[in-house]
Amino acid sequence: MAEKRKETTEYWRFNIYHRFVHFLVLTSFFGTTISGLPLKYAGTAWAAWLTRMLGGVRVMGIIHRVSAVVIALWCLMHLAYVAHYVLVRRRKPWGPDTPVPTVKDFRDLWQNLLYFLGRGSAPLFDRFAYFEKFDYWAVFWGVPIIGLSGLVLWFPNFFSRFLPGIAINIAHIMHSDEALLAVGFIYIVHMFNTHIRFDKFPLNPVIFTGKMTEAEFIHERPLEWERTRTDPQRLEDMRVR
Amino acid sequence: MREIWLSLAILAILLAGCAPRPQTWPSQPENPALTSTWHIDVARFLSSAHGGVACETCHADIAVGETSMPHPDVTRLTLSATSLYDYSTCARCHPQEYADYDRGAHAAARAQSEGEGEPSPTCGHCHSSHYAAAYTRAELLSNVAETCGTCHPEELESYRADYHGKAALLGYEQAATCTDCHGAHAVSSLYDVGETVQACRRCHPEVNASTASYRVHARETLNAGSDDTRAQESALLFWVKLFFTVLVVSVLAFFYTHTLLWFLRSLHERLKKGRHG
Repeated sequence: MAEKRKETTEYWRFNIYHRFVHFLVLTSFFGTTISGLPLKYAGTAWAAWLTRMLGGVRVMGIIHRVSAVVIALWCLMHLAYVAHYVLVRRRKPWGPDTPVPTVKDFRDLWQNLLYFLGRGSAPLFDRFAYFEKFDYWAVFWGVPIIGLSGLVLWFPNFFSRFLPGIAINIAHIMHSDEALLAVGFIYIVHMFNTHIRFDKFPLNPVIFTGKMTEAEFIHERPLEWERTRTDPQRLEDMRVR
Repeated sequence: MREIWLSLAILAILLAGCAPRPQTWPSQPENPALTSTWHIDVARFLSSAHGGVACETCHADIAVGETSMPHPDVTRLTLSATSLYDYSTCARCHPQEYADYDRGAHAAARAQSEGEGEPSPTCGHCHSSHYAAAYTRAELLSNVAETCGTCHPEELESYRADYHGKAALLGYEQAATCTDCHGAHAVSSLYDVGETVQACRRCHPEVNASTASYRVHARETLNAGSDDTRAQESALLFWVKLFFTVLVVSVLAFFYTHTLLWFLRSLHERLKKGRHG
């Protein structure tokens, strides 16, 4: 009976703030991409179809800008979270509880590739695996590139007061190509890595519920489990009551 | 298993919506005999914008009942009727348009190239006198761009890569087409910044000279060794485009390979366990 209860013990992986921000990220990303892609591929049959489905170019422009404002919002919310995490909660801004890359991440990548090819075993991950850290930093790099170039395209007359006209052409290339990278990465790589791989198909609920079972914890993040198991305070904090 | 079939079904429905279908541009005459500029498809003519205009209004030298015809020299029939017609006749009903044309870049180029090679355009090269329909704004958007594009293909391509052209392709009626910036009859190349600002302000009243130096017809070409501003700008766009292309391709190539290998490994592990036979 005790054994049974232990099996169903759950642990917090994402707090309410993480989950809420991720919800904003995914809805605003969906909003900007579905309203932006038809413009990038204007002239194709599917772009014409999608434009009709969304209610025309003007409506797409509104969806795109509203979603962009939401992106700016969660971007600021995240920076505020990091400031709170470091300055108020006095937590270390690096280390295994943060997505700051370490040498181990590069070793893990190499070991994982070898494992995929049938040589050796899969690497053991801590709280954030290297591909999860990459997800995070990809967004961290992409948001300023797409966001700033998007602002230039949104307010060209303001920015051309101190930038030459060619800056608008450059902003167009940056916005469009970086967005293609984001779409190609998030909808394929991120979706597979976290949601549609066999053991999670069709959706990994942890980012929505915030909870994982002890079995998942031990299996997926053995190093973090080891740190948690041996630290009564941390174990107590993370256990779902 | 049910989830897999459900996902495949949803994917199939989504893909069906993306199936390619032919672009619908204004239709061309089906009968090859009718492609000669000396033949008129009367049915199409009658339903065109000029359908109510009698032949002799424009072709005054055709007098019904007389034996004399306006083109006695048979060898002229091998030439395009458009190149032989005197389009100053149009000025009788469209005096403003003709006067505008007369002071525009097309008329200037035509006067300069008199008698040599392909003549620069006059009315009939852009407008079909017999078949032009009374276009809606939406039809006009694609029609104007196509028409100008027959002589200015590079400009058509760069226009369609620009937001103005993209919005027009997606059916946004307020999007600018060629003539909205360059003028319909008094066509201008808009090399003059002051003139360009005026053109932009027809739709964007707040535009300044710096915004107007934005290049609608941007070309990402490397033109090293030239100190011409346009060549430098094109070179700059070339390097920015190259940087982002390399970034996009390398990141996606790396992670797609990573994901594919991961998928194959987990499929292998799954089959080894025998869960799916």
